[in-house]
Amino acid sequence: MIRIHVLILLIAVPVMVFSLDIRANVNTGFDVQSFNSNSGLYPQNLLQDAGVTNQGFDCYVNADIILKSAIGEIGKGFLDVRYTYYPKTFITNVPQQYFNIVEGYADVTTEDFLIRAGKHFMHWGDGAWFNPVDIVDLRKDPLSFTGYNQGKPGADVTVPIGDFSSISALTVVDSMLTTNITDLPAIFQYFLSIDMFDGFVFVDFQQNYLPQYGGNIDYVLAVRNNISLKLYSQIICKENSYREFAAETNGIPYLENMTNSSYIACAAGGSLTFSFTETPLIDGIIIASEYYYDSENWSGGDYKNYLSYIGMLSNNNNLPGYIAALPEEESFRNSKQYIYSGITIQGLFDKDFSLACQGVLNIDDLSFVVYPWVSYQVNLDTSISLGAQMFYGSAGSEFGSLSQQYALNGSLTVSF
Amino acid sequence: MKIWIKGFTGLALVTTVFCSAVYAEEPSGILQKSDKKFIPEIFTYNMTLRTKSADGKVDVVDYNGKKKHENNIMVTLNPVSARGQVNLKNRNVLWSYFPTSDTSVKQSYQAIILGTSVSYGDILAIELSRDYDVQSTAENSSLSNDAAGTNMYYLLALTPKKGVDGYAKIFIWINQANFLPVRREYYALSGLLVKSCEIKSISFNDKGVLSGADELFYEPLKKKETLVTFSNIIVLNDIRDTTFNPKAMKFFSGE
Repeated sequence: MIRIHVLILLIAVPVMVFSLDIRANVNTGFDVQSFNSNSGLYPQNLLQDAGVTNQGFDCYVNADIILKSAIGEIGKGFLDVRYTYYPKTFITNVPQQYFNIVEGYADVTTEDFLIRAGKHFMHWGDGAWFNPVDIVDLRKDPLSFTGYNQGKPGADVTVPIGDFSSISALTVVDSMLTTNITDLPAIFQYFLSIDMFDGFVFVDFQQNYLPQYGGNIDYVLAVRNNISLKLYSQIICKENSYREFAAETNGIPYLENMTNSSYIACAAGGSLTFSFTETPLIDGIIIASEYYYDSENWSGGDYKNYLSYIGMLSNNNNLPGYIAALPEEESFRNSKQYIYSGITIQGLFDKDFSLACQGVLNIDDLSFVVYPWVSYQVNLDTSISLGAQMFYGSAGSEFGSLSQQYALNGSLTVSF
Repeated sequence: MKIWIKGFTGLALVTTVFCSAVYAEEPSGILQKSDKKFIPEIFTYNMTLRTKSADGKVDVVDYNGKKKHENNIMVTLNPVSARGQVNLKNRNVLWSYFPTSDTSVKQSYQAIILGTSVSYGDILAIELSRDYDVQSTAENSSLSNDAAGTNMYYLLALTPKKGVDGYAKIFIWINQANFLPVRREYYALSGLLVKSCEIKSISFNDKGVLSGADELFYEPLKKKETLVTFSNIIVLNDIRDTTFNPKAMKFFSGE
């Protein structure tokens, strides 16, 4: 990882020598969470045995310095360096302050092709919550707050065709799948936009894996003058899985590789946007809903076996085995099917005040998470937000076996 | 033979005069002529939105933009928190690109731009003749704020073209003498006036090409006004179509 950061700096810093555009963000906030020291995922407080104690409260300051510069007619560099300081952290064995590069890339923009290389944000798909086609950022946690997000190292070469189509070739470093340069994937995407329709198809080649391919399409329709409807769907097909799952033989759980010959994941949903021009009380409402199916995901039974496996390691005081098994569990991948719904209200009573509430239901075990959120825009460069995550479910369910029952987050962001 | 020539010439004249008269009174022709007079086909520009709320708070948003025919792209320069965000009109579709999440979303025509009283449609779809049909027209209309009463105006009633998002109805006053727009009123389906826009000033360079304009949007319900200022207008012969490709927004976000 250090080599990647050095490479990014080597690319970006010379670019910055030219005309510089400098700006900064300061983001400060706090998180509060309940902590269950004997939940399904964290039985018998194993993390505390590993020297990690949960304080239930943290507070932090992030300061971003953002540098941007153009070189001649076609070049551009961008660097976002973040300093993070935690006066108080949730867990005890993490650094309290550190620097990291959130984004650092160079662009080449010509009339015939566009290139971006370095660490940068990448995102695919129109899903409001679930984007199984987002193969360029698969490991993004939908519950992580925006301030924690970082770009991913990679490169994107795009050839636009007129104003309606493009062909892209990409590669991206995945923290779990890329150990050396030959592991880098070669991803090709074709994008097309025709009137209210747009969509893309892609194929992804990677050493040691059979190609995966898929697509995304969306359609926007003006239902009335102040109501618009968006419909979308996406699908990805793959023939390999990097995941393991917990099986059980004679009552003894164990991990093994996924063995299916093919996997399909899809998501489909829609959103209605209402713009209110006839009342000063509200600006707009967005209502969204989404269905997600993934045959590569664990079933409810797999998840229960996994908890049994974790429990067995705990009973045997097998701390290294427990630590190694923890990454096998991935949020929102513990049921074959999920449903997402959300509502966002913009400019309620005050044009600068917005609130939202989102929820995700695990269909296999009927556990769910609710994510309310409010924000106030003090001015165009200053915003305050307060959010919460509330988890509900039985002890053996996905959202009932987490260490938290709720989490709160408040933050103040100032840009200058 | 001479009678034939005279007859043919006379018929041609009558036809020409008739066609000219029809064209002059063709409502969509008036709107197209006004758009053509006011807004160049292909140009780059800077735009500033200065919004004053009822409580006196002033917010300023700056863009630089490129427009070619029905396509228009604007990159946000200020506020700092939104710098690099891109708004695009690609044919009939409005897009926004948010660089901190690498997300492109299609915007509703009437969705309000944060902190202003203008919608994405107001500033991206600036040639009304591309998105609206003329339902009715009246000549020799007057305007209440034209104190001298010396100017006469075309008053056109516009409704969105089929399949195009937009306001339920727009009234536009166009100066009959120079075909420049003077005022617009935007109405909801219920008939309520939701927004008005006064074109405070329009300036042209020596070649008669637009060099700047000030438009004052006012929302009576929210008692909020936004002054939209076009400046640094450079008329070009062409801009590559690829500039307006939705996939290119990501690469223009840093401009």
